[in-house]
Amino acid sequence: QETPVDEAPIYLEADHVEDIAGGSGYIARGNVRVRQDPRTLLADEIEYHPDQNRVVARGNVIILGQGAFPQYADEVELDSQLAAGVAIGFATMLENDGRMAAAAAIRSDNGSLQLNDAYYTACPLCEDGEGEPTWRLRAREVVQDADDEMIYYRDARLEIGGVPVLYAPVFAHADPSAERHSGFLFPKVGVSSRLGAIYQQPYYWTISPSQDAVIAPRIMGNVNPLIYGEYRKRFWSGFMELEGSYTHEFDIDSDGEHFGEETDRWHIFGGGEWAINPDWRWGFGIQRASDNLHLRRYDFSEEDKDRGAPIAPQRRQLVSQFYVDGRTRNSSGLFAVADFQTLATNSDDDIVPSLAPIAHYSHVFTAPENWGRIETSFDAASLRRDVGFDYDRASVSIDWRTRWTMPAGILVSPFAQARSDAYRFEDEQAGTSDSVYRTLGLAGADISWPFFRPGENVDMIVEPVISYVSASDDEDAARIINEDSLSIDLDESMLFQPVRAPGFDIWEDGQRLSYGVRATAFWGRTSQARLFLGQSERLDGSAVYNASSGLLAEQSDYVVAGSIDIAGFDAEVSARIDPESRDTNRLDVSLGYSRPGFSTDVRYLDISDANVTQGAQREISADFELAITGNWSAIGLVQRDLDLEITRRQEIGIRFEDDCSQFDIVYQREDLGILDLGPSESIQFRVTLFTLGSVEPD
Amino acid sequence: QIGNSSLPLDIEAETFEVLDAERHIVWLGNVHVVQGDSSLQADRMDVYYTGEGPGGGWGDIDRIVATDNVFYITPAQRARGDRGVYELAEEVITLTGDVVITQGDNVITTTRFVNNLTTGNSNFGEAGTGERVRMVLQPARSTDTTESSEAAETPEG
Amino acid sequence: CGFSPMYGGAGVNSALSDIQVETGREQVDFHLQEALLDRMGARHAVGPYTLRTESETTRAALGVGTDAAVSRYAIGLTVDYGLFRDGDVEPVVSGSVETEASYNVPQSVYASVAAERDATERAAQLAAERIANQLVRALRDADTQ
Repeated sequence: QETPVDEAPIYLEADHVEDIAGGSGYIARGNVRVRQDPRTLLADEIEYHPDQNRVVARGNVIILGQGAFPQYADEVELDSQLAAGVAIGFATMLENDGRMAAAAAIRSDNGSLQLNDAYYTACPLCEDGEGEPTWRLRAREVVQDADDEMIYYRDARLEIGGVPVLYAPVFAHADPSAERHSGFLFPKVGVSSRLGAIYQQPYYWTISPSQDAVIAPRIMGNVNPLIYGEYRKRFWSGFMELEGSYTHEFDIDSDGEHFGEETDRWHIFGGGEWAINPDWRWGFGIQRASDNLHLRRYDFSEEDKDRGAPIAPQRRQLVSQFYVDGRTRNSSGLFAVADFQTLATNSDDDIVPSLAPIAHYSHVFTAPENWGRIETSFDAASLRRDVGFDYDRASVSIDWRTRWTMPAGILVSPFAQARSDAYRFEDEQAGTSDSVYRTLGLAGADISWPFFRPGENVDMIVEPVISYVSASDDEDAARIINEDSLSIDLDESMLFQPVRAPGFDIWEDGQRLSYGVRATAFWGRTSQARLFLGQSERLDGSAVYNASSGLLAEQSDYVVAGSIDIAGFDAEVSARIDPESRDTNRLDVSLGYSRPGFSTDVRYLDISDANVTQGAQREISADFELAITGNWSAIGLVQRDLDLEITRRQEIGIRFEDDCSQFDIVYQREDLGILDLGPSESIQFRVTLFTLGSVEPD
Repeated sequence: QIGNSSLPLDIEAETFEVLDAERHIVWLGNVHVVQGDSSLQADRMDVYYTGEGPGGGWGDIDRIVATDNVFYITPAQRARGDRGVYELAEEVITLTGDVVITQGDNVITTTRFVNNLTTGNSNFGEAGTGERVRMVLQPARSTDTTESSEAAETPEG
Repeated sequence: CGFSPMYGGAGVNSALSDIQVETGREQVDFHLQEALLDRMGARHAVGPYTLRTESETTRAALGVGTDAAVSRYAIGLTVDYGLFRDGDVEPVVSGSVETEASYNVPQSVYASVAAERDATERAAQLAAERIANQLVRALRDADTQ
């Protein structure tokens, strides 16, 4: 049992010691070290007066064990437990590079420290004391209160580069050495054309070691106040996080004009995941809003944090789901139910189905040597709609594949698949229903003959590939309502797949031949370049894919894909070219370049998919960060819809960053053409003083 | 005089040898010098007197040199060393070698211990020798500090 | 012109098919594992080498149109791999592969869930192919040294 502090013996060590009055006190000199667990005091000279409960240390005094970091002073007078006391010319380090120094410091029994004429900064100080740290918080009096782990200031001045910028009679922030501690976080301040002036004051509340919450009321110029909250809880085998907002207000347009009716407006995001066993887990995700524009109206992002839930929502769409998924060595499975809320203005939720449920389980059996593997899988989907038909499908399939290496290095990969689907379509309002049962099968082989040429500095691989597939007919194709294979865009990854449709509802019957060549060059350790050319030819069977898939004609579009990756520069191209007209049906180019001081990414997209009517067909987006001098750099991004000649998003800003602070001033303009919200422009400034916190808009 | 100078000084030992010319007596075997409540013990003590020249008297004891298992015990402390020199004129006792001193609950180890009998102050260690003075101090019990500090504790054994 | 069949020599092929494969715990890792085992023919591997992979998926929205609608998602898959000899901490061969498979966003909600899952599987197929190629290059380089 640890001896109580005041009984703990004191170890003293010195070059020379004198005692006073026969052992009632001592004066030690010559790199004196006094230690009373847990604290140690080093000094040139120490006077120890046990009867007066006083220890006086002079000259290069260092106090260790009083916190994570040593504390320095010219002269210190402490009680004999080395706890409470006074120090002259005091300085200490705090966690996360925080530094505090003072003319005089008084430490009380519970470890609280009161400093007079003190300052606090997280910036490195020059050894010779020359020059000013980027920022420093100077105060007449600073109290580091150990009980509530806060640091309080009186007559505080925030100096930026030595120039007083802010004055506050009283100021406080959490002690950076404290791990988790309730307290006010930096307020969020901003102004927007819609909401007017905004002030949001978050309060961080550590409920218990395994849960905490943030409560942030927000007051705004043009609208009623809103309350925003976050809650997190860690369980033994999982976690849960929730966040949400609530207000009672009219609808407002982009100039802050009220209209519509005053009603409750709220949103809730969140999710959780728990491990059932090392392989399987279950979880939920919740995303709901009172009305389509609530999130945008109050500048909340419409995209919730990704917490690992399997069903990722599309843009302007919220999904609430419950799921069980997992994988073992040879099997993987997923079961999920999900309900969607679309925020997009042109679609209503009644026709949007909920997944009730979708399920998938596959197990892979290893066949005897040389005979590859057999994958058996079960897949089902049930879609329920308020308006429109319900869709039920259940499928069982067996998929065999192996790989043989023939003499002369020819690789032959034969494969075969058998599958049976059971469908049921029902439209309650219309009173119609239909069920279809079909069995399908295919067989084929991929044959490739890769060649390798090692060079001193460039190794090359050239791999011609040819794939033949013969699939059974599908008489019932007309009766199947296609729900899961609505958009196909032929590319390198799809060309040689036995089943090229993303789902089950479309089956490519008949025979087809696909061929292509893949060339890869490597040099140095990481540089490489790659080129792929390929095409697919339908020998017989029906054209099951639509015009924009590149697979409608018997001769498919040419598939062209390439990439190059040299130190600092990388580019990737993926394209489909019409065999007759030679014009590009789809082009997706991304370029990236980075070197010290400058980095940029550019992406150009040109899709001609007729039945994708939502997003832009031609778009260019780019972002860059350019270092101007030392700590200053310019940042920017742009996303422009070339068809409608509208710049959807653009940001341009200046950033100052050094070891202890980061200032961003960013002009942001969004024109997403959302009903009556119109384009919104805002100037945002984000100030982050490391260890103190940051001031930035949501 | 190793304690209170006015008290008589008794010396006992198993044997002693008088070297008249040097005014020097050698005491051997469990030598005890007692004065009042303080005592000096050692396996051998060489006692030198102030007397000079043939025919003069022995005078007073000038100094005592104690060697091997030297113990110096007073009400306030017990000190032990390899060699001890007691200068009567300056009333200073110096213990050297492997010195261990206990003062109440405090234990001090050093290579040199000088105790001034009139002032009662002691000095431990010598700066610059590279040797260190090491002390283990029991902080005065909070209850003790209330009593006056003069209540010297009686040394054990 | 210096080209020879990559799997011509018996050595490369038997070495490749004797490598055990261990991938992460997500669904994409299961597809990556199966694709690697298919590509390397390593279903009966018992050899002293194990290929370990760590994957990370990203999702980029392209073609942002009116009403912030997105016309295309690019599923990016980055796989860091290392070939470890049993008992070693440092990999004998290591590298990283970045692949991308995209899909045009269909109108229906369920179709986009199916398209996203299919794109992830296709990205894993491409990654397996490139990792296998890089392994064979490393094995061939090791042979020629």
